[in-house]
Amino acid sequence: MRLTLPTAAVLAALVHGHAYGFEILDVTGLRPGTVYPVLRRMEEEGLVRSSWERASLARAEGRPPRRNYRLTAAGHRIADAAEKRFPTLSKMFVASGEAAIAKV
Amino acid sequence: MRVPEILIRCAAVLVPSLNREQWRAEWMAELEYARQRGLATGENPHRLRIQLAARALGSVSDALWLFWRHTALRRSGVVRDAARILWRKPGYSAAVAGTLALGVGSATAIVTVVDALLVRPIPFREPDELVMLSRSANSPRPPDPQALLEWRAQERVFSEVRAHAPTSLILTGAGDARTEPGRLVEPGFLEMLGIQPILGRSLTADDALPGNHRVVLLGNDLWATAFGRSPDVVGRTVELNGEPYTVIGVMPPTLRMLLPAVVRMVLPLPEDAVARPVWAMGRLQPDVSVEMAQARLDDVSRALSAERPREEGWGVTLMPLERLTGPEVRKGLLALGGGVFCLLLIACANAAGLLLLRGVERRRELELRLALGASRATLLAQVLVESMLLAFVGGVAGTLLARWLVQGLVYLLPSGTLTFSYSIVSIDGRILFLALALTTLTGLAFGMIPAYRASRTAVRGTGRTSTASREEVRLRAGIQVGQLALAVVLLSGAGLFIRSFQQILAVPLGHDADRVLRLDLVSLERLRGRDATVDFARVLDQRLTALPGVEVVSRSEPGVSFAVNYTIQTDDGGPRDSGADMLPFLRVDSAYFRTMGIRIAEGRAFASEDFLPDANTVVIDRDLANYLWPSTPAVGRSFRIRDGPWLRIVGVTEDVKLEGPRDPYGTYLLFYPANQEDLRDQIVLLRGDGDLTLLVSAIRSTVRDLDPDQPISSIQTVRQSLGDDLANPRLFLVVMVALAAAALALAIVGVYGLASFTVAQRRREIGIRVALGASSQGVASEVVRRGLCLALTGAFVGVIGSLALSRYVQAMLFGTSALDPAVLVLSAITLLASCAAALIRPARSAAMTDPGSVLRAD
Repeated sequence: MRLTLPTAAVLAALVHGHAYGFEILDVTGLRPGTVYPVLRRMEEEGLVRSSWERASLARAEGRPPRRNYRLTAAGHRIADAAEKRFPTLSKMFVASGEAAIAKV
Repeated sequence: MRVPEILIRCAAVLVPSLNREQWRAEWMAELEYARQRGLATGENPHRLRIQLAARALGSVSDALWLFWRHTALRRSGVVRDAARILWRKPGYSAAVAGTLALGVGSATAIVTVVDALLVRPIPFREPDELVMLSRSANSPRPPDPQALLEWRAQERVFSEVRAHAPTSLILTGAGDARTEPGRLVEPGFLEMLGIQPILGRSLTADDALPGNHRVVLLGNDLWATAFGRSPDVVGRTVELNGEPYTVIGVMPPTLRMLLPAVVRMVLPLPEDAVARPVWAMGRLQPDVSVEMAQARLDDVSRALSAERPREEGWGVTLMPLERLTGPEVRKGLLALGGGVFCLLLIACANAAGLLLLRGVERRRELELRLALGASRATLLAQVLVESMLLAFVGGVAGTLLARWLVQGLVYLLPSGTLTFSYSIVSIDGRILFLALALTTLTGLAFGMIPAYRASRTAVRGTGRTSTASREEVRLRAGIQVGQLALAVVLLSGAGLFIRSFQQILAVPLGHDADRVLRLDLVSLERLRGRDATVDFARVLDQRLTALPGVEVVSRSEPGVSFAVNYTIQTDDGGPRDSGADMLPFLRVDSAYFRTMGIRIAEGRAFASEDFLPDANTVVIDRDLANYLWPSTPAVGRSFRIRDGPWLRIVGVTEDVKLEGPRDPYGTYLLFYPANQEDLRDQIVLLRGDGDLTLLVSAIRSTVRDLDPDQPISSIQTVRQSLGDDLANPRLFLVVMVALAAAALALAIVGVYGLASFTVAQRRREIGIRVALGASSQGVASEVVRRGLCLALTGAFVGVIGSLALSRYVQAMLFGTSALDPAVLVLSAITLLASCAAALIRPARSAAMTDPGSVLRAD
């Protein structure tokens, strides 16, 4: 997997706990045509794992369940490498007031 | 269902079926969540809808990516393969791409020009409210000053009325001395149009005061050519008519086509000039339509006529600016638009035919690859990519072609056609997109049909041969017939225009337009005074007469003037209403008829006694004579126009068409005598007895020797000066012939392609027939017969189509019937002959089929 800036941005968003497609679009400012292919490729390569929200939770809010993406252990290793290559990306999330999520 | 949901459902088609449901669920859920969150945070619902639609649009790129990733496209290098395959078939690839390019290019170019002339709004502020005030309903004529004052006062109708007038001034001190056309405008005129200078300031009321008028706004062209677009031109002094003028600003390029003449500079119209007849333009009140305004002004003019009766009346006609493109040009452009649409259809049909042909040819290859394990999707994708590549190349070439064609067409258009339109016609993106979409769709659809059929046949396991199915043959034949029919329509259109043009040229003008040179000089009377001008004219005429090769020299006004809204009273009875609202007249000197070669049918030409102050004699043309005195000779009779002096007729000329073969101002003509002094600053006519072109340089040097500072506007034959009358028919003729030639060429390619294809398809059958004893002549004649059968059907349908369209074409023809049987028959014969020629090679190829080699190959 090539570590381009959009890939690193998506990884950083996932590291900071943004698990849904539109959320990642919002926090990275990237286009859907960029973010979704990155997520799909990462899933194919085992860097992220997707799962569906609990149906009961979504039903309670009157909407269909959403798909979320979590980094796997391999994903976290790549995310570390990405953070080293693009150190300012991570700061962007902290600076914008987003809570840093502890790595699992 | 909302727009975002529709977008997602459409995009989902591209997603591989295995993941489709999940993919759709993910996008739908995200959209719904975003919608709920937006509503909960109080987002504006309208803006939220737009945001969600934009987000949903992203699903298309996501789906495309998945499609690309999960079909075999990416791994198989299908684009590279497609390019390689097309490269190996250069003739086929060039034919398809060239056909598409021709279709896209010509359609885009002509529609762009038609759009710029007829459809696109005028580049002025609120152009719908702008009207030209004219004295005559038939053609723009300047209103008279007294009436103009009345109309200005109509505040319920106009928010403002501004006067303007053409002018031309001699520019010196910026390159060679030359005359430049300009426009005198009342302050506020440019603001009324919504035009602001791009440099400097506009005209103010002070500029129109006597003594302050020596300021000039340069047109964009003049600024570019004479001043190299220098930004510090404002404040500089230029010499116009020998007087210093201060440049106060530079106009934007839109001004170039401001009025029915080229405008290279704008100057203030002096306050006192409004007392002379000047043109006027008005802006209607926002809630007043042109019809309402006209009705109110008609009421006013009736009231004025009752209160203060005048001969010339108080009437005014409002002409909306967008109607100023002449009706002839409008009709012509619409016809050309139709012609281009035909050509585009022919191009699409041709491309479709070629693609079908190629598809059937490749069927065996596709079936073999399927049998060897290639997936159906891969094969279809490959054909798709090939078609798209061809469409892309054709589209790029077509766009380039369109650019050139637009420039060419604008160049060919008669001057003044682009009045009130953009000076620079640029390609309209929407039209280009439409043409590209049409041709691309054609390419895709007809490229895919054979591939799709091949893949289905192979799946069913029944396809063993590479022959076309019956439906494909029928489809191909149907396309062919349609294409040939359209070609006949264009051919007959071109034929009618040729006939019409011949008719125009065949009209006897009644004068020797080719034997007379016309010298237009710029009048310097304002600079030099009357006496000097009279002297100059007298000496010039003497010297020109003395030139070898010059028979006779005379002077006249440059073009006819008109008596408007006139009545004629004859010496034998009451007044006559002429039926036409303008009576053209021309003031000429004694040598005029001899110079122009106008034959006097009755009576005599002007003699010296006619030039005495109270002679009141005239020469009229035969049409007017026949109208006034249908049964008795007109010579010696008298008539008068309105309350003017009685005019005695001394001569009647043969029918004369001074303004061109189509007599744009009606058929009557009246000649007044004018002595040389009165015609001192008018045009000079020279009748020569040899090659007139040799005289031109001698005339130039004669003028230069006499006065080196005298600018010459033009020296041309009278025939050349009639050019404008023939410009429109000539343009339509050229374009229609070009369209018809392109259509015929495409039709021939189509016929040739189909026949070659059919022969290739039937090679085995032909081989067997030859082996069984069929003569090669018989085989060849069958190929020709089949081809001609289609051509005949096409020609028949085309003739019917031409007949159906005839009433739309009739208005543009001169002395020719749109149902002219000779033209229709000739078009059909041309097509059939071309088709027969195109069939020769395929027929020969069929005749030379060697049964042995065919059967061995099988």
